[in-house]
Amino acid sequence: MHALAAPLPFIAMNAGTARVRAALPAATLSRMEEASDEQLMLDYAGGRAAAFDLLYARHKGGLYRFLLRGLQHRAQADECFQEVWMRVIQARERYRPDAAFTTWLYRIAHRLLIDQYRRHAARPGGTADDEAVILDTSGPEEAQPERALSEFEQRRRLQEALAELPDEQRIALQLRLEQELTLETIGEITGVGRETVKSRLRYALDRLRTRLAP
Amino acid sequence: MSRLPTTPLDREEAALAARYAKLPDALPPAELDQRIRQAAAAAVTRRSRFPWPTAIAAALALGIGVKVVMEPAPVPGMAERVSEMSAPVAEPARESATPASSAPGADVADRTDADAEAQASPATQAASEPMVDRIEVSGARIKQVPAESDGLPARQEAAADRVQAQPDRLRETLSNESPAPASAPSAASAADIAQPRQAPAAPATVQPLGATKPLPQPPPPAVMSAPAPTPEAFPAAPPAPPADAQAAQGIAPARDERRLRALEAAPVLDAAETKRDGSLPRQAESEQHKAAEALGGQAGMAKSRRAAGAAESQAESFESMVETARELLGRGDEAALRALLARIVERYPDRDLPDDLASWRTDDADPA
Repeated sequence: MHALAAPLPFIAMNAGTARVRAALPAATLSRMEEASDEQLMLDYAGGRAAAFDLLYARHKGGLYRFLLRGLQHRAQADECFQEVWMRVIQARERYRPDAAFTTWLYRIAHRLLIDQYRRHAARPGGTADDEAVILDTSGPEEAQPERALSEFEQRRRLQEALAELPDEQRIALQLRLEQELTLETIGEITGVGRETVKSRLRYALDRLRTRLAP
Repeated sequence: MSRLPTTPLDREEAALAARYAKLPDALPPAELDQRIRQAAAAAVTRRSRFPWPTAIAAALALGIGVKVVMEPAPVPGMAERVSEMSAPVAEPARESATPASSAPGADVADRTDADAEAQASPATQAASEPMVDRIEVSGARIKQVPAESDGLPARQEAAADRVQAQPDRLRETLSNESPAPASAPSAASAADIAQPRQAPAAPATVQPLGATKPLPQPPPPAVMSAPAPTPEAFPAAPPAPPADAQAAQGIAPARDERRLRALEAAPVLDAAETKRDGSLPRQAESEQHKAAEALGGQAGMAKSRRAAGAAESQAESFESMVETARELLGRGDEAALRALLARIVERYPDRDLPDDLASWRTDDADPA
């Protein structure tokens, strides 16, 4: 399993990975599963479509959540998600493994996210679609109504607090909490220095602490 | 497997991450998933499997060359028109003493401008325009192929033809007040496309006045440098009127003296000063230039150039030199006459001078 999936237990083997497993010989599949993201990208640029399937299966969950929580709008998140992968596909022959593939991928996503913010001046919060995202909380807690209500309220407050953060602070916090990336890597993705990332994270945590205090 | 460098979360971050992880999970919709995978697969399957590098290397190794010719796309119906146009362009144009040249890529829309340019300075155009030895018809464009070995004589001949044909063309254009006959337009338009900058030789190719700019007046006599025009095209410079005649015409005495000095300081105006090949000596050219300036700007320069051209042209044959000598004799320019006679004797030692000129010959005459 991909290393990025470690802190995200909900990323599981999906249909795409299963299809790759069925299509490839065992030895090839084993070699590809052990390959790095960068190697898979180079393989895909060399014409091996199965490499992209593996790469996509590794990153689609984290990337989609990053975009959805950043945009709080499912349609915009879908559009942005597709655009990120289209750019990866188009740039496959220009790709050079100078940096980690994940950094490259999230850098593309970050730029598109910023573009979406600028395009849709109305940032997250307040629309019916946003409510749909928030209310889409299926889980085992539903069996226990009181606890489910409490969890639902906590998630709602967290989502609202995240939505109130400035864009750059929210993006930095997402990358830090979800991917556990270093400050340097976050700075590389967002195009700022380490100290700037550190400052953004500190401000974001202070705001959340204040907002989520009982 | 690759993993970006991570650092463990501190206590506060870990608590927040725990709450963050409880946010609703989300995966892209299945159709979006499928669309992206298909696009990725299509992108790599569209790649050409043909081994271009190997094929190119093999072609180079075998010495196979590829000539790429950029030609405009053929226009429907243009091939027939061009084939019609190509016939009257090549030979009849030369026979009718009109230059067989056409501007590359010129079309009907360029006709007016081309005519205006040709009428403004025919000699300049004749000197700068590439002459055509043969014309190839390719697609919708007429290609000009310049003459190869005998290019310079052909150009000189065509330029001389162009200059000679210009007054005829002007007369034809000015006299053609009525539109072309009913049967003429198709031939005329075809000829116009084929030779938009060419002076028409036949009445059918003369464009009506309404289609071109009116000609205010015939162009001045051409100034030729490289080509050797015929004597008829450039008559000899008229002799300077005597001082009395100038005074009678009201010319100021100071200017009169200046003109006389200029004429005296310009011996190159005489045919005797021309070289064997018809060109002027460098010193003589500078003196001629100074004299022309003294004569008064452009008019004087043109006048001196005409005289020099006449001298060049007349210095070619024994008869023309003798004729020039007689003109000098009639003018009373004894010094120039003696110089010219010396040059004639030097150039044609086996010919005898006419009796009326022989007495003026002196062996010690200094051409300078």
